[in-house]
Amino acid sequence: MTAVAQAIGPVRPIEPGQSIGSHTFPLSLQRLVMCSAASLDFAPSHVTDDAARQGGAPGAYADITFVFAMVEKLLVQWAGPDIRVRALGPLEIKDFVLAGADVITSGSVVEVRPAAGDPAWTEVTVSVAIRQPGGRVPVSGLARVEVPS
Amino acid sequence: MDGEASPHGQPLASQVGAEPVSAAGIRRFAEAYEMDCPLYWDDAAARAAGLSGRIAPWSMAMTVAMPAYWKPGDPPLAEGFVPPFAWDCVDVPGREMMSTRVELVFERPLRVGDLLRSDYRVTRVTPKRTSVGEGHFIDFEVSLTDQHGDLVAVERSSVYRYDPHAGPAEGG
Repeated sequence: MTAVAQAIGPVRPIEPGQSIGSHTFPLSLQRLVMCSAASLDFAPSHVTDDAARQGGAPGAYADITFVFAMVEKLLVQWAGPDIRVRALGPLEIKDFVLAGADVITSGSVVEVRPAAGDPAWTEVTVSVAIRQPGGRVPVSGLARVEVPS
Repeated sequence: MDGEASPHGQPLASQVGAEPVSAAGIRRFAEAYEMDCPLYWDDAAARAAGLSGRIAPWSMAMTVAMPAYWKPGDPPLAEGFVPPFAWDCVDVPGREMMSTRVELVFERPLRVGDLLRSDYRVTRVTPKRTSVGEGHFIDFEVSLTDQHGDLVAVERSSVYRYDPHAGPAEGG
């Protein structure tokens, strides 16, 4: 365990219903292109509005790796770097995460229990959601992490 | 192909990532997403946390698993090319595709040097008309194993492969 991990972490005790905070990621088209390139996802719908519209979307939208990354950023922001991510998901993708607007990721604790076979760690299941302006909630679901007990 | 398929049989398709996890690849990914976790940037911090060295962001798994778009001897990439994942291993019509449900379950973090193999199995194919088009929901289970054959993660996804309706849609 690092000194950083000891200094940063969730409020103790961790209990169901607690907020794990929120994270805002401004998603311009330029940033979407940067993220898509970093993910090696050069699908046209993640690069240009025109291509996305031809596929039935309102405009260029983020890929699944972007969604995973937003959830991971929230988990690390909440629990500190010294976590074990056990699962990102299941996440329901109900709408497009569109470029040109903020991406707001938030969540709360759902379940807390000892990590299987390792009393030094606690497994925490959280609910997460990704919101965008206009009341849109394009992504929601769960994630599981282990944090030092 | 409609209805349920066995998730336990031989994979319908297998792929190997274009290259092993590298410090440079981790840096490029973490930079774009502004991930400041020291375990992704600093070998010493990772070792202090009980790891053998820096790890990749967890969300980078599918990027690491992606095969090359092009290699010497291949034909030129066609206009509008898409990532070379094996989603096309199921023979259903549709020129567009979107993810509708995703999950990554990890056995361990990705480390520098890991080279991922992906084995695709289809668990269900369901035809459906939606707001964006006419198509099929395809449920996949993808096992991600390392260069030693050890399981690193399992991805469970549903994708919607479809032909769009005429005109823009309101959502996915």
